[in-house]
Amino acid sequence: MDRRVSFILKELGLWKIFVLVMVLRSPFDFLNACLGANMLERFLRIAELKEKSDLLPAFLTFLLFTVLLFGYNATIWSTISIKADMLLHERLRNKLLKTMLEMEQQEVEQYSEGDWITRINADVDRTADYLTAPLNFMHALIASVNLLLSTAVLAFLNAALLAAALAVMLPFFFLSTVVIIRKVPQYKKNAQEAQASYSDRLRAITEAGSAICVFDGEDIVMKKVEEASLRIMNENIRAHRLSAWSSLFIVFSGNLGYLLLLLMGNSMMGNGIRDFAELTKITQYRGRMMMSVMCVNDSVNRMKTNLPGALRVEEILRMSGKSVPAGEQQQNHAV
Amino acid sequence: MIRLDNVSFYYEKQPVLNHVSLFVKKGQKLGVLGESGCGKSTLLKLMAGLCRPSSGTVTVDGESEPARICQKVSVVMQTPMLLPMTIRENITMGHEYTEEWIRHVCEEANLTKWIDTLPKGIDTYLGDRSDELSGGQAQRVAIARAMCKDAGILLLDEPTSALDPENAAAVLEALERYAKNRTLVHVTHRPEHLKAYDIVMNMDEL
Repeated sequence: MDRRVSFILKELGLWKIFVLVMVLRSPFDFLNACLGANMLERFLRIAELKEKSDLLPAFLTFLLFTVLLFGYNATIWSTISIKADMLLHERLRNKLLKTMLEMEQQEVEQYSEGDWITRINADVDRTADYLTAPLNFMHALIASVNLLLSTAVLAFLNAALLAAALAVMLPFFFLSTVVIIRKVPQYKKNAQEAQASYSDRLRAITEAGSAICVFDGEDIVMKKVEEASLRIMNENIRAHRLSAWSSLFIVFSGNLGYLLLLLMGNSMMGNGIRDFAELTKITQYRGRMMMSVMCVNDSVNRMKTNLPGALRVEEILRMSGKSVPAGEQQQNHAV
Repeated sequence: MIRLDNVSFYYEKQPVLNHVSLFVKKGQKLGVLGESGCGKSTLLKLMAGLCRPSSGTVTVDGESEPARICQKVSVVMQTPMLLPMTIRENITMGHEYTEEWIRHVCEEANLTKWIDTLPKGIDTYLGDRSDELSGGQAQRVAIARAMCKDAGILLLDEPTSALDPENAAAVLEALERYAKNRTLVHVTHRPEHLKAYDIVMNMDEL
């Protein structure tokens, strides 16, 4: 997590609940991966050995674990996670407003009305998205846990296959997650600033309606609004284009790795090193590992998209306490 | 020429103007006095075609349709109503005028000195925060805009109310010089601003 975003969590006093949410959710993906891989291996083994009597107990066992796992996710975890999300939204907006109200007029006027509106609405939403929305920080962390554990299991099951999968994946992962999307935050920051400017233009137009009417200014005003709107769109398109390239590289590396696994697995089966059920289990773990890579990549991508909004919120929260509190100001000027 | 025949205006069922009739000949100067809330700004809006009377007719240079009335008049309001565009765009509102004419109206509105101090001159962007200008500067840009349109009728709604006395005097002088051969309607609550006017109407007495 960006240290400036962690400052926001600290300011809001929500560290503990966030750590709890993450700890409670972290094992889920890995346990799900284990469940899927072992279930497939078990059923294939039963089919291979023609042990029909084992089919029902195996089915019931896996069904029970699946219900327990998803039941836990849908009840305990989701309740705490929704609570954390609600608290975040509420405290963030209140804290931002409180900071603004405690500022000296001169400090408030550093930013235009449109800028303030964008910070209190869109930027607060971006900050909350960064922390709690799907495919953002929370998922990046959960997927990373799964990635590490799945990699460890894969290393234990077959180190050669893991090495091959990593050799194919790592260059693309670096290219995608580090190189391609590095400019996304700047584009999103530009888009947020353009959004603030757009809001200001709309406000000015609303206030100057009479002048626009008398001086027949509809055309130039529409042109100016279109320019501002186009600027938002262009900056967003630039960011989306990079994100799309980033995802493409990850998917490509995933498919390449799968192809390699089939080639190596075919040879291993031919030489009697591994049987079909074992290879299926390995494939499952590798698949889960790749899913986590994709999840981390997408999450990093979206975090970069939401980061500029969060930083605009952090900028204001850092001002908290620098100004003389409103109450003290009143006392100072009281006769 | 401005004619109001038995004009009434209601706002949320409350009467703001009741059966007002008046006639201003071409080139005459009408002063409208009255305290806040007496309906003098509404009267000006009706003359500018910015709203439609609830009953009666408003005719400006032969036009009674609000959209057409708008084309016949220039207005300077209490607030300058500037837009986030350059000074030039705020003055011309995107219409084509010769450079000479634009320079002339800036001179008339006492803007030239200030504009010359700006690095980009008349093409300075007023920004999304045109309120950073001083009240006098902003109002002078609004006056230059009104002059630039070159309409035969000039409507003023307390154009100096937000200015200090020095700025107010300069702004009024510029406006009255410009309105010399034009029809002028000036809404104010200060009678001393209406000394040389042909007609002075007190809204409180209506």
